[in-house]
Amino acid sequence: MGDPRQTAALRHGDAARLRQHAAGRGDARGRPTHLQNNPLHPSSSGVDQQAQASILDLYDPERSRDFLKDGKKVSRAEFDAALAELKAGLGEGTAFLVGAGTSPTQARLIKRLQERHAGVQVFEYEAISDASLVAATEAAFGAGVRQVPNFAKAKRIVSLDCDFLGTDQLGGASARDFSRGRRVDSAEDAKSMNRLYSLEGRWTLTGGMADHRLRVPASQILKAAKKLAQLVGAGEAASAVPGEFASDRPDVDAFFEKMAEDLKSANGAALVVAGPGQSPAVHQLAIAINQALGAFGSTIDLVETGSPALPSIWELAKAIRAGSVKNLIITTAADPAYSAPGDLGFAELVKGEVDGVSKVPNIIHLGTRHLCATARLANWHIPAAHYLESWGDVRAADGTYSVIQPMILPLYGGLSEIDLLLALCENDAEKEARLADAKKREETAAMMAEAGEPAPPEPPLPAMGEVRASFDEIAGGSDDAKWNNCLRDGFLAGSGYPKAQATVNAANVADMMKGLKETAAPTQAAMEVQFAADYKIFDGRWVNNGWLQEAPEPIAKITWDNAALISIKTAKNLGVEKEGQMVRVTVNGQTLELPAVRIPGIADNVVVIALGYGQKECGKAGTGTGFDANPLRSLDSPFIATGAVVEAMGETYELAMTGEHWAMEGRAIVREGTAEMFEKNEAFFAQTQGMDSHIPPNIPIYKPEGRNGEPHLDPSMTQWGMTIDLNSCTGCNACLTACQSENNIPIVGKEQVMNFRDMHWIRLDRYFAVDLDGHFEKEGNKVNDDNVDDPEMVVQPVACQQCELAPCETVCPVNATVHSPDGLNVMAYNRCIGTRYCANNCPYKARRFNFFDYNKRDPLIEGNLMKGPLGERHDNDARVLQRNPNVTVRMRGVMEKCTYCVQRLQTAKIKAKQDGRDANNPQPKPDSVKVACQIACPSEAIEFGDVRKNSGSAVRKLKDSGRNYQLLKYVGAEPRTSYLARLKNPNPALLAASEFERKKVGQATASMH
Amino acid sequence: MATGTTATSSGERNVLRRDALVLNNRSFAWITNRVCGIIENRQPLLWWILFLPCAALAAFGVAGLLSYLVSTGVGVWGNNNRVMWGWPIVNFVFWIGIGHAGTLISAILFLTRQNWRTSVNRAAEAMTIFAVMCAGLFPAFHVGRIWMAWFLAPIPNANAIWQNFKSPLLWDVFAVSTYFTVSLIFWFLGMVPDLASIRDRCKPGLRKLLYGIASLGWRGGNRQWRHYEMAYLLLAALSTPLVLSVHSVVSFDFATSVVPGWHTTIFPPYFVAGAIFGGFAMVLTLMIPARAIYGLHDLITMKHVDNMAKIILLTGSIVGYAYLMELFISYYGANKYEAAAFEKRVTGPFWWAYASMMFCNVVAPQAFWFKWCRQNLMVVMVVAMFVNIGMWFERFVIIVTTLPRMWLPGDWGDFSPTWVDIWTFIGTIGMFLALFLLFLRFLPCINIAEVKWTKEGAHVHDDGHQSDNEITERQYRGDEAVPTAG
Repeated sequence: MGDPRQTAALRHGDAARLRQHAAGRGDARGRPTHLQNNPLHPSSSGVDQQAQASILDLYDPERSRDFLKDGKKVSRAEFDAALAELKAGLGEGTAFLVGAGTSPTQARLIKRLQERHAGVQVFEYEAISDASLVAATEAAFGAGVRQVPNFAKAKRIVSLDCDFLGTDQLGGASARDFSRGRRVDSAEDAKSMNRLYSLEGRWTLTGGMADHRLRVPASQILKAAKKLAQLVGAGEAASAVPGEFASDRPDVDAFFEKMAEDLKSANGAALVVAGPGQSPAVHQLAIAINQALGAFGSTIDLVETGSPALPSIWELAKAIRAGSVKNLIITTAADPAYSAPGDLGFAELVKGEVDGVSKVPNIIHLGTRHLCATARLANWHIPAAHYLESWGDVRAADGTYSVIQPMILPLYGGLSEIDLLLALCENDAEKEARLADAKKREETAAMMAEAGEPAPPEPPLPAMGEVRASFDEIAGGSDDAKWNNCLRDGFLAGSGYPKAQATVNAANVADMMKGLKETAAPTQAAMEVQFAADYKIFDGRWVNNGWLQEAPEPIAKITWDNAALISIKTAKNLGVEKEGQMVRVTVNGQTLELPAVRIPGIADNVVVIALGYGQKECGKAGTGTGFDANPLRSLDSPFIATGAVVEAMGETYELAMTGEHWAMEGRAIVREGTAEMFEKNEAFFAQTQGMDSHIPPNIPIYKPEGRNGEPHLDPSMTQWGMTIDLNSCTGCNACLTACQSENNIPIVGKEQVMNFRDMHWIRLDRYFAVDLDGHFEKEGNKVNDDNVDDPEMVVQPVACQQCELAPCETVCPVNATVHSPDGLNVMAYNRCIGTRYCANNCPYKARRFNFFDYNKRDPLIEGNLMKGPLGERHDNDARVLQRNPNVTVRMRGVMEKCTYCVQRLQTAKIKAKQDGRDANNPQPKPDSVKVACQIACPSEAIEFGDVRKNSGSAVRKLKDSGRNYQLLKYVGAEPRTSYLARLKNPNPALLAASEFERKKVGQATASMH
Repeated sequence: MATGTTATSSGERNVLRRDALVLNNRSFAWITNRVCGIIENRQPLLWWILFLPCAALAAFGVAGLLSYLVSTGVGVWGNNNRVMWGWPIVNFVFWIGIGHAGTLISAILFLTRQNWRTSVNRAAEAMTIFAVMCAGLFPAFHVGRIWMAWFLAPIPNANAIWQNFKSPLLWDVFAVSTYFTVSLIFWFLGMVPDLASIRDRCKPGLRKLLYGIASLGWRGGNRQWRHYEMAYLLLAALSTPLVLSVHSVVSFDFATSVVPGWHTTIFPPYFVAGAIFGGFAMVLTLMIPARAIYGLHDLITMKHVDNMAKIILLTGSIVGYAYLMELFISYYGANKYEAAAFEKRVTGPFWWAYASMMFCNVVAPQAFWFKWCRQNLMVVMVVAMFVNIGMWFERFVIIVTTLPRMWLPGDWGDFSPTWVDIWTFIGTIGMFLALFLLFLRFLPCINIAEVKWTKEGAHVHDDGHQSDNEITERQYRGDEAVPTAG
């Protein structure tokens, strides 16, 4: 196990989102193999799925490793020559297209470059960005000002199509703070629980967590915001919005009225957030509503970042049309040639394929992916170093400064953006100094060698020097001790941005609200298409990451593809009868054919398509996955298109879905109640729902004891156990990928996922609270009930439950799965012969079998696994370096499953023995061991530790909670993992006014006996 | 057709007579010649036409595809993380069930003095051996690491790890291997006198040597017969509980699990009845053509067919009762999971498998209430084929329709077999038939010695006692006409 002191600030690849801060784990040899968050950082909130998976990219053999000129490999020297030429021509006609970033060093270097070479222009591009939020904020509060929502203080939250728990991260530790606001350990907590209203047309993880969710098509959010604004006393700002919000729900007026009253009565603890995909006008209304509710200074901080928004790709396109761009240097990771909205025609524009526009003569692309559209159209491609290989820095949403330190030298010799900027900035004097330094060092080294002494240490990399300079600027002076502290902690405490004044510039706002046109509600003839960030590959930059591709999309449970998600009613109207039936979507003059998947709860006449898929030649994992929706998008409204014509087609596309079933089938699996129920009787609903909760005690025929009556479980040892709080779990997949990274879990490819051979040790079961009378079929769920239009969604992570009376153990003929004295259900891979009886007998279906040699034979080559010994191997490439050296890599023919990260437990025990070698039976301290899924969870849903009665551990306290229940208690297996029932906190006034909400909220399992 | 209920007009005893077991008053010599002739004469062309494709299927499906499986991984079959046991275990239970009729006929019917067993027991036992061989292949090869399968054997080892004797799968290993061993010995022992007959009829040479070795120095002396009969009786007594235990143990694989739809106490009797049911159907499937090809009508008579049809009717009804009882209990038991498991079986996506099972196993054998159906070989063959198919579907229903939809709907999956599944199963059918054809070719397919016992003349100290034989003494002496088989 690595030393967590070896830290690096971890940066998300996608710059538009919160920069998370994490400690990377180096293994014994010092290479990073797994990423964990930095618990010291103020906005540390787990490690999300993409951040976890970024470690796989570090070792991706298909990562860019060569300098390419027009697609052909060239030497570094040739590139240096070209760079020198470029440098000579820097100035007017040179444009940079950078990603959205908050790196002070990058900003400083760009500024220096612009100072030294007048006329260099810098544009910013992200396929999925918060540009409209930034535009609205800057218009209202001034350039460089940003809003930082503070969910810790928010008691009443309204999300206007904002997935702040999922892809629309707004900054800060939103998932952590939101879930802390819902943490209920006692009746007292239940009174102070926060309340979330979600208005959305798509299904988001945020909508799943909402107490009240109203289906509003994305294009109608503006009118909904207007309605809300009028009700909370911000009607003036909304007056410019044409049209009135309408819904087919009869109780919609009551919904808005009660919601508004609830917000107003929150005394400043209310917060309204709007999705970054919404127009600036919606964000203006959100600002007005927040202002009226007194949110600024309370639930929203305004900060002065000092770095106003850069001009967008739209401005760049104008410059290209004007013919003023000669050198275009693209460093954004968002792959504009692929991801830019169709009507921009970015690729055609720079290639000069548009009438009257001449080609951009020199395009240079810096990126970790040479297998992307932008790299292919560039004249030069520079391999970028991974963030774990390079120096860098970043500021969190609140401004906290972090240093990114390399954990490993560049594996393939790539350059970071800072390296490139440095090389371009360098003036003659600096160059001379550098060469002189190098010469001097060579001479010294020669002298030392002559004297038989070791060579002097390498000088620090220039990039580090620049980062240090940025640090000095922010820290207010050069202080080695402070710098060393920052390197140790990963961040500089107290380096937040200064607060900004909440004075709205009314003129600017009015200007922004001018000329709004009414968008009619979608109909069957003119549907709405919402383009959403993908939960896995985001905007497509992670397309070649096998872990992310194979992770099931949290709501539709699709792997290796995207699809058109539609509601049940829409599907009926269109004639879509099964999952994967193709539909033809025509909008903005473009047509896309893609498979449809029915999801109960999406707004009617809305099609939701995730972006990022359908890329050509993007690597083994990415090629051939999904369908590219970018051509359908337009710059004016990049995430919402209206007037779409959608038709169902005859053919069906094979989707690899891991959980097609919707209903819990009358089984109280994910138990749910309301805060009120909990207040009345803490144990009531969790202990009474479902037949599992009222069965007579189980009497096992095999007693868990040895031949002489000694118990198998050793009470003097730490007894490991886990709780998963379903009130916090959003279903985001972070645990799934963290587990994959920690435990060397292979991917199996789309074909094998279709064969139900997925290997994830922890999976997220997603249910809709629908009362289905149908049953599961490959073709999908038979729909014969109207309550599937607008149900609740519940999520439940399921891994091996480490049953004390494990059904898997009694049936293994060779004793390959047995119980350890500290309560683990352990797998002896070497003993396993693979009868698979254990997995049949596992009620939780938590066991996974190696049907092929996934670790040896590449599952991503079609048909390769079926070739057996003749198949192509992949255990000889760089990916093996990612493997956790403390975890066995399993061969084919053996069973595997969650081990509670037994390698971590063993390490902790060994350490306890070392620390307390004189003590009798030393055990790890309570709560000192954390497992991979627990650490990764952004909403702190997973607790792990000693479950003994007197241990005083956090997990013990939770197990004593009234919300605690065992999954499938009927089986009597005494699982060590238990669940904490989900609580909804509905607005009593709204429940009183709406029968629909009364029947829906918190009622997923209420009627189950 | 001899009806067996006709009283003779002038016989001394005015009783209901049993049907003759050897028709046409065939002599001892005729029986020996006819049975040994199968081995000694050239095989009919039909034998080759049947044998070559069967052997080819066995070579491809068993030798070829199992090599592929071992070299590549269990993933070449359709098993998945929801349905960990798919076709291989369906096939295992199917074949092991077939392997039940043989020992039942040899042992239980021997102990209960059912003389009609003698003309079919040898072939039925051979069928048992071959069926158990086919059965054994599947659990052996379906494990992920067959090269480590010796972990199942209680061999002292350096790891000091013992087997898990709580596991029904381990019981299975012992039950099936014991059953196979005892059946093999029983079969071989019963063949010794007949092998000696063949030896005695051979010209000197390799054949004679081999049959000589196999007949263990049998000379047919009194002491040898005395020992032989005692040994045979003891083995019959040993085999009898095995007939019941093997399939009970196989059913424990399911019944002792926690899987809804498997966890039922009805399984052991229901499995045993099903196995006898399927086994007799397979005996009929094999013997009716063999009888026609080798002209054994006088030894394997309609009486035999009729008896076996009645057993099929009986066991089929027991199986049908079990099916209905399972449904009733799942409805009456108020256990959601169990009820759902059965509901999914009947109305779920595999409803067609359940319907096929019900029709083939419960409806089709009802034809055997009617004598005309029992006496019509075409009908018997068709019903027997239905039962063969139905019994495969029964195991398919139990395994494949249960596992993908168990406790947590969020993880429900599906199952479909691969071409390797299908061809491996077809390969075992080829292997089974090829072995059976080799048996017909090289070993006495009818128990020559025992068939002769059923004839009156075998009773050398006959004191006028009318045994369960087929004709009266007067008929034997020719004083009275023997009713001819119709």
